Amino acid sequence: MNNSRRGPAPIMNKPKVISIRDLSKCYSCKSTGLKESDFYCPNCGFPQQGTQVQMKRFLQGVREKKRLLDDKKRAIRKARNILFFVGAINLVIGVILGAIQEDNITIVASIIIAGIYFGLGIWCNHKPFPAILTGLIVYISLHAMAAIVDPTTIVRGVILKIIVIVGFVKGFKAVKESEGLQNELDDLTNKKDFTEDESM
Amino acid sequence: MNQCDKCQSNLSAKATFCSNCGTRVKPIEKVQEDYKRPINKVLVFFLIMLGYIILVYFLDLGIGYIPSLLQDAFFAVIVLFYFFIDFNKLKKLFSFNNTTVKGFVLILIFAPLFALVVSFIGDAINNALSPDVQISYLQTFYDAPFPLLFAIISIGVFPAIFEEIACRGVFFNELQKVTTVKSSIFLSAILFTMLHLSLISILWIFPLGYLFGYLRAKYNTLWYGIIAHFVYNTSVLLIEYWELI
Repeated sequence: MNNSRRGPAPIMNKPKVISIRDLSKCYSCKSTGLKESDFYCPNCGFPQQGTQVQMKRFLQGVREKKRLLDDKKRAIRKARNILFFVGAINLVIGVILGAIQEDNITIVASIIIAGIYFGLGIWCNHKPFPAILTGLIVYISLHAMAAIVDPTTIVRGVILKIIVIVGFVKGFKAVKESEGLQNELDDLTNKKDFTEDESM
Repeated sequence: MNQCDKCQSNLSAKATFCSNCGTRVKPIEKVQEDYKRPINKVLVFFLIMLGYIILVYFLDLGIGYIPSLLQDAFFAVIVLFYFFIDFNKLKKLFSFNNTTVKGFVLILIFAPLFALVVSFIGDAINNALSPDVQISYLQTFYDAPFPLLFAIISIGVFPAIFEEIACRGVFFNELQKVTTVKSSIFLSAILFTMLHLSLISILWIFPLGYLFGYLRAKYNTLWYGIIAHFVYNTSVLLIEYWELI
């Protein structure tokens, strides 16, 4: 670093100072009706009258929880996309194979299976946990059925199968883990009005 | 007036945190923290049963009433193992407290009717897709001293008891720990359907599984499911025996 350079630091490097002008409104969750005696926001626990370090640490914690929740939601979306992907693969390959072999059973079966996966993918938007778990159970069972007909299918595409199963497992785990995080974040971000509160 | 447990400050009625010391005073809405154990139990049990069914297929013990009963017995042992792990909770499902005579009468009327409809549909689908293949449930028992009786024991009694214990007992109980009742009914029906390893049969096995799950959830007993399952399976056998379709 060139120590001969002097002068004020560029604006972009200047740490942001949290300045609270209105103590009756929480800086973090925007709840209103806070009293001057409230050191912490009674809604989210933000240290309204704390040090800069305390305030920034709190805000960093909230951002971290949001980031974690986004990760979980991403895993859930991935599992949902896997459902659509597996459905599409079954449909395309099944119909092509059925057409080549002139086998109506294969075509009908592929359409049923694809329909199940697409239905689960749509249901995942509303009830991700049972949808993803069902997808996993159906996926394993269908491969078991295929193995009975042709045991060599067990090893075919094994890497893809592992990716799919891991995706499903991570998906329904993420659903459960995101529920707790969401509840916590709701407490920290949903504002309240304490204006008419008569606590002493 | 509420007070903070830590610093004894007065709290607002709407407060989630103490405004004096910052302690959380309202607990976070509880979610199922230990979801892994029930889900692992369901998946492991399901995989064991699936693995057993596939093993039986590959071992090919032959057609006959003795291999069939041996397979049923071994399946029953697997189910009973899981039943006795959670015996105290599962034994309550064998109570008759919430059952009524009217309920059983309705089952005795509608289960055979449904069996008739399914047999008709199954036969039609089979003729359309595989006309050269004829499915016979009784064929396995032709070598038995009393073929129909042994068929009823193997196809009527055993599945009614042990599939219900497995699906509406063990699976349902574990699933209820991690999800809603409705989802538990749905998931236990899916597990029940998939264990039959037949794509076409999804059309009637899943609705039956859903109905049995609903009865289990509503009346907190396995008896309706067991009797309905027995009557349905036995009706399918009798329809074949009397050549009604």
